[in-house]
Amino acid sequence: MSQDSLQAFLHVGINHYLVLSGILFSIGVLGVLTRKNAIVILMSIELMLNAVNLDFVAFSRYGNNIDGQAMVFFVMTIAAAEASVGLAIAVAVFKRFKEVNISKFENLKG
Amino acid sequence: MSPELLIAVLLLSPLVGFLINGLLAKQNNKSAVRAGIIGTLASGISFLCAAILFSTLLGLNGEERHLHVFYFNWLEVGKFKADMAFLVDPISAVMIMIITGVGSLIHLYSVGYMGHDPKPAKFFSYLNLFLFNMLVLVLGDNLLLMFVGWEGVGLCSYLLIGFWFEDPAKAAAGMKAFITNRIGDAGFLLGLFMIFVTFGSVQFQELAKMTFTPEVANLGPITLATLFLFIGATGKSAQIPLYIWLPDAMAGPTPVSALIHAATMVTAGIYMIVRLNFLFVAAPTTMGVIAVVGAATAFFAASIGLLQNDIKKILAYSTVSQLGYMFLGVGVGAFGAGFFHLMTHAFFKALMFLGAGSVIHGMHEEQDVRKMGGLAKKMPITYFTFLCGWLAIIGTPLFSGFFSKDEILWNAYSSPLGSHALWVVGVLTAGMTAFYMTRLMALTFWGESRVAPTVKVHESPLVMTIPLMALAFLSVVGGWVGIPHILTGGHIPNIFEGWLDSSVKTIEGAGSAGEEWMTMVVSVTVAGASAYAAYFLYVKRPKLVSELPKKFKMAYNLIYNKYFIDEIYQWTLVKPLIQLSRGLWAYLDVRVIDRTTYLVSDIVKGTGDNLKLMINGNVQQYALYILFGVIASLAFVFAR
Repeated sequence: MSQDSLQAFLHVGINHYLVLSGILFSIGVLGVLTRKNAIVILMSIELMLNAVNLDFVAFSRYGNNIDGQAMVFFVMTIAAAEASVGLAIAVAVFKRFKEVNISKFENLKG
Repeated sequence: MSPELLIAVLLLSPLVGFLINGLLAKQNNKSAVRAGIIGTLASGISFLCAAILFSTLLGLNGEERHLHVFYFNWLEVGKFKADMAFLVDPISAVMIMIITGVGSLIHLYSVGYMGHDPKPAKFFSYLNLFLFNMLVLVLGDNLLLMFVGWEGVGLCSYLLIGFWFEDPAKAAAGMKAFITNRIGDAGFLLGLFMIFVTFGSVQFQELAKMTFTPEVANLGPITLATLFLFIGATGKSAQIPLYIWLPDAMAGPTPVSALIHAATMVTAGIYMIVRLNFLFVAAPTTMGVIAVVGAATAFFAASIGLLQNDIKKILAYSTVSQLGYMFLGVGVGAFGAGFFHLMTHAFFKALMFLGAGSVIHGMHEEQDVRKMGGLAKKMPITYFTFLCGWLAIIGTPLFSGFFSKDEILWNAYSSPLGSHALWVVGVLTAGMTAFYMTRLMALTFWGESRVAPTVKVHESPLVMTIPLMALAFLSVVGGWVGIPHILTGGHIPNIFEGWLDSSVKTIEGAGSAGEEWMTMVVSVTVAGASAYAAYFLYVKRPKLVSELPKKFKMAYNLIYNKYFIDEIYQWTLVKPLIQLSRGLWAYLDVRVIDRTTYLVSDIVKGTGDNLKLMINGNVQQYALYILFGVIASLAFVFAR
């Protein structure tokens, strides 16, 4: 690897953020798809949302546009609301079944 | 009153009667009197309107003698145009008088006859519906409106023949009538199309104004169109080869046989030809076919009538035979004579059917003449009225049938379209008619009683005998409107001929007065001789009769079994058709069409069955599908 290309690699640009965001998002998706524990699924969703937030901020910074940062606030607000509702249900399910396995949520069917 | 109002009331009165009685039928009311009063009243109001219209026509003279009433434009498609319009002219005026007059009498009679029937309201509603359709048929001012009535009366005929449909044989008779009529109706429709294509109009008065050269007519579409229309007429009016339904139609209640299958509906074919006489005279080939078919039917049916034992069947074959006479008349160009016979026949045949109904009623549903005999004393009114009908139909001088039948025979002899052969067939038929009718009289009313001792014969109530008396009166005097000139030396005019003169193009026969006297004397002599022969055989020497079948075994069996025509049709047409249908069903329908549709449904169902496994309620799996979808979409976007 030549000096120049090393420099280019070490120089943090938008691609670094996007790759990191992609990795985080993929981990989140994997968590949502594979885990049975409701808490872990909620955490994975949080991870996906934050990956998106990272994208927003990165584009905002490199695109010289403040809109992306404003959007992040919305996302965080909604994420907080979603987490509170999700956790509340998880707590209720835990109280009833002593565990928070996603399969127990089927009992919520009317 | 204006003609518009009169015709509207004339037509709608039976329709309203039909609706009222039809709604009453739902209530399951068993009172024949109430339904009968409604039905008879509806028909009576119609008769009143018809009479007023008739007298209005009498007030007009010559060419102006018609009333044309337009209500609204019924349909207009391209050049095709049909109005809801009605035409009262001398031809249809006579028809509406017969339909509503005889119809009202038969309604009245039915009150007595259907007294014990469980569903009288239904019966009277059908009867009223029939009247409405028949009036539409005769009054319609175009072929399409006529066709509406034509189909409507066919429907009512079907409903009334199969009125006692609990009996499968009677239901089958209804279907036979309907299906046979369908064949004729198809012919009628084709004729209608031909006329529209050729002339661009189906309106009678417009058609009448057109002129056509004989060359065009004889080779061209007029012959074809009139032949098609004649096929329609053979269906409705029971002529060879479609006559087979009429004898079976006797399965219906007797008043129905009198009204529909003797006096009115079956004459629709004659009426149609007389109505379109200007077309038919332009096609001499068709005229020849009509005359020959008519004469053949008259002869053929009369010969079958000779050996029937069911009182209604005898009258049915007689009706077919008399209709053949009418066709013979119109076929030789004597439209007036054919139409005249239509009228007198309506009187005396309705009378005889009602008389037969009275006998059947009095004998507690016995129809076999072999189990009757000597009824004259027990049913004097029925006997006396039936006697008038008998004298009329065999052509006794001065009775109605004599004048009309004689006029047809004279025209068959003298008309340029007629021939001596047709006349001979006609005279032979008149002889056979006299024979079987006398036989009917002898077996039913004369001679010794063969009634089973358990049967208590009684005369029918007044409500049934009054129509009989009225019709008997008409059977006697009904012919006096058409007295031929030679009988009176021209002192009494032939009213009927003059009446039709403006609307019918009769082909005049050429012959001397001597010849006319000759034909008259011959036919009366032949009829008288065969009537006496029948009287001699069946009253004086009944033993001889029982030996006849043994002597002429072949001929007897042939005629007794109605020439096996029903069987021949069964084997040559019905059975092969059923076999063909069955084959088509088993092979084409089940194996090809059904399988194809099943294949399609199987593919859809199989696909669904497999796809539904994906929908299992596992949300994480759904999320995976979404992911696949996203990846696929992205791949699609970027791969481009």
